[in-house]
Amino acid sequence: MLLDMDQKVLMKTVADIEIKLLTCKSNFFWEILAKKYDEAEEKIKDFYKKKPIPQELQDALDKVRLQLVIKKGDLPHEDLLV
Amino acid sequence: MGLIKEITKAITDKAKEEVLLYIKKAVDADAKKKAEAAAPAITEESKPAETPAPAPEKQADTKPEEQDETVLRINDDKAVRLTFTTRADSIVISRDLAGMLQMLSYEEFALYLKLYFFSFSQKKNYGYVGNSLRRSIGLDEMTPKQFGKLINMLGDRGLLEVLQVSDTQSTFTLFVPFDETCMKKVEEKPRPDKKPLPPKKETKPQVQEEIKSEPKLPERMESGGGTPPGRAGMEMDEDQLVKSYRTFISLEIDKAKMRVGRSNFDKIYMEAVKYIDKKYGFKVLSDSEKFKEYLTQYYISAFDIPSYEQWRKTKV
Repeated sequence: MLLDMDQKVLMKTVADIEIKLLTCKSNFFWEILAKKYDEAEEKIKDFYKKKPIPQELQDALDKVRLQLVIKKGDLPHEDLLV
Repeated sequence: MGLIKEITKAITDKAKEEVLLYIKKAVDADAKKKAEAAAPAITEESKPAETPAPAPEKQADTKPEEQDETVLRINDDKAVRLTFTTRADSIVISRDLAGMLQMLSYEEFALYLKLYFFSFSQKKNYGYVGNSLRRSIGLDEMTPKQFGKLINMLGDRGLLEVLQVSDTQSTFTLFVPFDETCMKKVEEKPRPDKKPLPPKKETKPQVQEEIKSEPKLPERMESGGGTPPGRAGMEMDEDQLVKSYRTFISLEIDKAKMRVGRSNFDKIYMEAVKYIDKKYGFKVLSDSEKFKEYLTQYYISAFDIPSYEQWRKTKV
């Protein structure tokens, strides 16, 4: 029961990123969300440590990551180093 | 009877005169009061139009101009190029720096802090000034003109050093108090050449820094000099050659962009993002500097742009 509750909290963290991604219009904001995603992923990994991450949570992470990647491609192009 | 009539007439005439005089006095007194009441208002209104008001207006007009011309310098220490050796958990602002920042206007204050945090995130306190920087620190809504003006203001305050590298490019070095525990000064190599142009001198370490971070280019930069494109006989050192190569890549990418069209280029960009994510991981994608490096490499390979080695051979 406790684990379910934790799982919900972790799911909410991931879902929050997904929602904020809808309003993302700049690379600056995208980077903040990407950092949040990294943090969320690490938090989940730390929480489960050696145990496997529940499929539902893993799916949510994969989905948000894919959305982040697609959003990055849609945003104004990053200037090159040249 | 006649006498009584005469007396009565004389009294009524006198009474009429008295009443008329009284009414006249009353009317005059009212007019005077009104005039007195209106007089201060008129003088107040007229005053600013005449002498005292124009003076403050003039002052108000001249003050901003004066501020534009002479900005009070609040820091006399030189801004030195630094690299941050460790990524600290907290970003600390020293008491001295905080004291200086208190004196800034809110716009300058905000820009300085944004650049300060940006320096910590990119682990160096210098870089190119431009739209990329403006966007990187989250000032998309600010116009480039405003941004440039604020940068110059910070420069005048002594909190930032701006160097014009070329006609279109300039670099900045943010004043960050040196902390030897987590920072390292960037060594500036003295130029043996006869032409020690200050902007070139300043850009040298940055170019070297970028070379270090780029896996492909730096390994190819180790051997000697060459001649610049289209300028036979003029000697060019390695840094200048790298710079020329960068310009070359930029031009080639622009050409390719025009060749394939905007929508196709957007698709290529999307593919590049996916490819970088797949090959190098999401962390590279979220690291702006690394992403730009890999994106450039992707374009080089996608548009068949000659590698540095190949390009160099054609120039030597």
